[in-house]
Amino acid sequence: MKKWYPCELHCHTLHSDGGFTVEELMKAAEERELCGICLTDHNTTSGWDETEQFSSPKVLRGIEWTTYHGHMLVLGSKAYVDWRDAVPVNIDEKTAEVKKHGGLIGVAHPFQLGTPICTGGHWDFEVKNWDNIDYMEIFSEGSAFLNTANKKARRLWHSLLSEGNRIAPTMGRDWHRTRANTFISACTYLLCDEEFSDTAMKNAIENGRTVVSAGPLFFFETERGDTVGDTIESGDHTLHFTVDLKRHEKIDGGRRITPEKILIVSGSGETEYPLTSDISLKTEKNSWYSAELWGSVDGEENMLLALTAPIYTK
Amino acid sequence: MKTLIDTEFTVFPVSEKTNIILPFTVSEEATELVIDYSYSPKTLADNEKAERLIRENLLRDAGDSIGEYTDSGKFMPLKNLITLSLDSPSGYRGAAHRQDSEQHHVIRRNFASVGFLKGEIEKGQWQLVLNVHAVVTDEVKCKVRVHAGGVLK
Repeated sequence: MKKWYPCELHCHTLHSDGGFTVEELMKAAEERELCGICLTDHNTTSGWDETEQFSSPKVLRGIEWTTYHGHMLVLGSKAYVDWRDAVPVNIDEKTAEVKKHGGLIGVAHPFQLGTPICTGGHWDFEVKNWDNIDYMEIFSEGSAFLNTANKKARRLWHSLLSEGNRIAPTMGRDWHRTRANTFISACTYLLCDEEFSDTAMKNAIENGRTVVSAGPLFFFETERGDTVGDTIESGDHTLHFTVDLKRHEKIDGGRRITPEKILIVSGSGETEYPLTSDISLKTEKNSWYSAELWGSVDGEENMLLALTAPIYTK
Repeated sequence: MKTLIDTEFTVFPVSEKTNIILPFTVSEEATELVIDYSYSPKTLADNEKAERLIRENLLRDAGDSIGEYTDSGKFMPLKNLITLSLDSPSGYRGAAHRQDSEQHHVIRRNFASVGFLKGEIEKGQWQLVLNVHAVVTDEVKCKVRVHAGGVLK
């Protein structure tokens, strides 16, 4: 049975420069009703074994390649691939090596300022083969909204989709400690149609079944039940939308989120709709359609609350 | 204890974004590796230079939103960052990616300091790698000592 699961895909502990022990991270994740996390310490896997003593949340094992030219998330790779010789011109070979070992690859905070402010934090890799890149952080760090860096990430992601690439969008809290955290309910929702596990998380990301959110669960299905990540025939479709604020209100009820409108973004532009449960959409061939939920937060208008991975057309 | 590395050297800005490899050979049975590492200075005291480096960063990375970064003070002090990573004969043994400029690590068969992977202290060629993420001062003095503990003879 298909179900959406709130997850945090970018976490650090004392094993690198986080403030959390592994146990504290797991507890904090439970408090936020996160079903899964990715443990992605900088350049090390040494925290992985410690997660085994916890039955919840589920843990997808990862590592954040904290290189000198960009931070790259690697999830579920069966073998270690060296991060230290990754340079802008060889990144396609490095990502190919990770793919050979079954790993997923994500671009972390592509528009963070780099060295020496946040060392290597700005994505400077000269990727030619985007087929090897599975996902990209659209919402990063403390802000679950469109700050400058997130705006640029969204723009880059849209242009890559329009070039025919299939890249799942994610939210990465880049979670180091609970202190100073806002946007408590922000997460990536993953759609799984199997028993929830690290493998189910990996499959969801690989198949583009992601929703980036500042809190609300937001997604759509076509009249045939196709949804984000799927490929459908072009032509006329009715998209049926769900907006669910339950988890947000339970864990972050003090922050007032009010959904107001839906935006459908595609290769040919953006169309705005009032908040409604059904939208009739004429789709073009070989395109992509991502839905966005906009509204207000604590009275501040015109905030991007959530965005879906695209549904693609043949 | 057997000393495997005991060295002091200076790193300059030209080594930024490179790896400095310190190979060593474990030739006798050992039960632990002990690494002591420090570097100095940690921060850049010269505010004028800091302003210049931040300006260069923003020109490179902020693009058309450079005007939004009006307070360079929030990026200061700028810091040197040279982290450690370790390889044993059988492969990668982790890293200590954190800001501390004085570090002490122990690696044993069934224990390792955070960031490193526990496991046998294998005989053969190891390497300690200094990952030079940022050098913001004119030079950085590094001190590295590696000992093998529990050597039987």
